[in-house]
Amino acid sequence: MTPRRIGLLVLVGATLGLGALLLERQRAKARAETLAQGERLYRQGLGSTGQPTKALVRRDLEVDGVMFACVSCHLRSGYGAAEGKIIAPPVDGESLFQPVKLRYKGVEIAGAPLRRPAYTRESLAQVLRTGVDPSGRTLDEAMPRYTLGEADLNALVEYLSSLGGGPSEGVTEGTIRLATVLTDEVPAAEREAFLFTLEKYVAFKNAQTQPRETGVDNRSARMATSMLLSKDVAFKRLVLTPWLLHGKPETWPEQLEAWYEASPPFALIGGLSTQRWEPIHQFCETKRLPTLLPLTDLPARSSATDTYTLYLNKGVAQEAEGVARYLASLGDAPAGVLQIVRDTPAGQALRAGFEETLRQLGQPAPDTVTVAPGAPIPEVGQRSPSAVVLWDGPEGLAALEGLTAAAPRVFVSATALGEALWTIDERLRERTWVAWPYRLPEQEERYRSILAPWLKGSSAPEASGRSGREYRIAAGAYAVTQVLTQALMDLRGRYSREYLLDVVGMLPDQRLPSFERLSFGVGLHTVANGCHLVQLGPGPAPMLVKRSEWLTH
Amino acid sequence: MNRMSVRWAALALVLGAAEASGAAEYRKSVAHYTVPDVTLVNQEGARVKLRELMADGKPTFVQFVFTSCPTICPILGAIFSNFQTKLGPAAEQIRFVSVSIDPEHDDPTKMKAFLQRYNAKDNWTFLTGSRDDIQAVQNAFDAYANNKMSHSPLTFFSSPSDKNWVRIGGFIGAAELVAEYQEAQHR
Repeated sequence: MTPRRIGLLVLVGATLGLGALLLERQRAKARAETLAQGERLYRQGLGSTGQPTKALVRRDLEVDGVMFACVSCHLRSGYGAAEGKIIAPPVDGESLFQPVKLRYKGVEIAGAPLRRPAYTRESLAQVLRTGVDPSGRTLDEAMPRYTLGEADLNALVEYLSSLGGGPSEGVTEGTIRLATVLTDEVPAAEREAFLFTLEKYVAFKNAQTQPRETGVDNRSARMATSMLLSKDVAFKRLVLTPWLLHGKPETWPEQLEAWYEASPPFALIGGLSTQRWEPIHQFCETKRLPTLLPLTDLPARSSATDTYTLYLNKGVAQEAEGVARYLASLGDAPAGVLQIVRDTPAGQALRAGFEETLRQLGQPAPDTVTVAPGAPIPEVGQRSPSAVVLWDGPEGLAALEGLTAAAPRVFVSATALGEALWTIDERLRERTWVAWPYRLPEQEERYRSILAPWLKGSSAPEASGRSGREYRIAAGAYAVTQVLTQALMDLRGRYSREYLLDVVGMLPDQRLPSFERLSFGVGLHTVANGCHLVQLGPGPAPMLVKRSEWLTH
Repeated sequence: MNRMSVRWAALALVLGAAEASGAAEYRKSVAHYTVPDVTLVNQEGARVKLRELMADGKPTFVQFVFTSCPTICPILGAIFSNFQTKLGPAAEQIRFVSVSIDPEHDDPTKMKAFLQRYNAKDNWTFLTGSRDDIQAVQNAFDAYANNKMSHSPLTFFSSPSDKNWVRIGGFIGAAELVAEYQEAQHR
């Protein structure tokens, strides 16, 4: 072969190779676009034209993609939901494109005819349009009958096929890896209160875990296992790794990445920091890593599209919201409110929560004085405010005497004040109103006994002082364990990170130590909303006197 | 069909009943309910005395819903929305009330967004309130559910002629609800 011919061949080969590569790229791009369109349809109810999908429920109820979309009932994971007597079955690719066998109490019945054959593209189109599945059965009327064009149908089928698959990262045959984030400024006793509870729980669970090969080895354990909603959980060990972050928040993403790379967890459970949670929140969004109930006074202000962090509450901002709601409820517009803000992350978070809530309720913005950290709070002077809100930590209490003299009511945040709350001078208590986001101490006794066994052996005092920050932290860690136990059951062996968040969203309300009520909901960002307004009673160990209902709206 | 396959067919029928309730019908009953004297909060954040709201003799429709509800409430919302359209201008004389059963989460912002999704007009109010007050309303309508995820789809409407309430359990179509409503008017 002449060199010229060789050159020509190489050129042809290269051209063909390049052509194939381009074609491959084009195909991948087209598939990605189809998937994105399928996701829009599934999650936002928008068809390929950008218009909401159209469907009928119960013959003549016209519904569109704005009212609800596939995701409303089948949820982000595609593994479905159960509400009352209505079951939205799984619609992930694996579930749809395999036949469903007849089961009785979860056990497959050998030799029985199929409950439903595997869906094909055609039978899926039919069920979406007519509600008749490939076994000839008509689905519940809660399932809309869609008017879908071919392009939308293709996109949806492609998207549904992409849902599900194997377990998410962090789950293997025998283990579920979990991690929890702590930052290094948290005092040792608080870290201990948090980790002790969590680690004790993991040890307790693992002591019950059975090796799968040997099966469950004694009668009572066998009985217990057979009663579990998810038998799989009986064979899985939990592995919990604390991720300790050092130094400045700007360096956290890199540290988080290193921890993640070393061993990706299925989820983060709890977590403890006195700094803004934002960097951890963002990391989890990027990694699609769920975080269940981190203990932070400064959660990220979640945008509507964020999904992966479920906070206990809105942090200190929640207390400011409660005060705003209370002021708005007084009937007359709370004109003349003076807001004093310490220029710290907590002070600014309180301010944001207060102002945003007033705005939502159509109330005027308050006069605001911002005070630098360490600086004294200026005199109120000639102003005679109808109320003062004091968004400050313990250092602000020095100004309380002057403020209570100038205004009939001064509102403060229990969380921002911490232990200093109990030192408020008895003479000033009548005019000082405290936003209190926990159960009242007098009603907490019963719940203390729930937590006591979990704190046994811990070097952290069970409750230091009256506001008991360590008690609260242990209670927060305990709440995480209770939620996790139920969620792992409800997963029924489907270890998808999105499904973890879905099943937590469907949990029934919980009444646990410290928090008045944990209330869940699909797609919600917090579980313990609201607060009371209270005043301190007389004496050196004052009772809290309730001055408002539980304020949530 | 041999005996074996008859048995399978019977089992399949039993197992399938829950999911394949395609022909499920709504259940109607008539009951006397006393609206409790509670003050709730509407989608504008304004306080509303429930009895006063309902005291003007206008026909009133009531549903219990929550804004993060996956399946039942979106359809309940669609029932109000479609009924409004189907009945036409006469619907303007009717009051629609959605009562939140998730007062921890349903604040005015979320309630307003819900109403917008269902093209609600001004005569459709969404109410939330303290848990005790909400519970009092649920109890009054015999609609209490301990867990919001296990609530049932219910639609109530008042019948001005005899001070009773018509209670519809399950999902009802727009034409069906119009027919039920009109029948109640002529009772």
